[in-house]
Amino acid sequence: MAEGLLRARFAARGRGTVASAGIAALVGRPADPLAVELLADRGIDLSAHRARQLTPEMIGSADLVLVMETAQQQEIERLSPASRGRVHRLGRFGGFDVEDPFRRPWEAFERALAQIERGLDDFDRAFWSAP
Amino acid sequence: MRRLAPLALALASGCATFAPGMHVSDSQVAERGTPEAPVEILDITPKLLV
Repeated sequence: MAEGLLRARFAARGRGTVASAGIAALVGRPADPLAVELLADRGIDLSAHRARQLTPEMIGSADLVLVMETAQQQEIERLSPASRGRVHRLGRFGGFDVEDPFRRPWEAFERALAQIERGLDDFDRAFWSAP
Repeated sequence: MRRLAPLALALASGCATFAPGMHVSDSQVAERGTPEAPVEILDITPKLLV
């Protein structure tokens, strides 16, 4: 969901690339149908998404890595110590983790989406918005 | 089952960031140059991983 939302934001800006991967990804699997439906309501198509396993090469090629939970940041920095400083929790500014909606009902996906959007808004204000 | 760890690569436009909360626009950076030593603004494409 975060990848889809970021793609939509960057598309409006005309530059930037977005990719996603999982620390323990269900490689090749599509996005959860609830996530697909939720983002379709916002005009974002996740139907072509397929899960990928995170690799040190992906981490090394990224200018910025955004994660949902503190534990993920720690794991990525363990996998790739050189990534320190480029890895941030999406809820860094708000002091929250994005709750994992995996195998949970619609309401959990809605809550996770709201948290992701809040985090992206915070990063927009802190890093990417001109004064 | 561990959750998927979203990583996303993102990027920004129209501003250079020195630190959270500190923004300098491309034009402000360019104004620091002189005819003898112009400042060239490169159009980068940041990569974000979620």
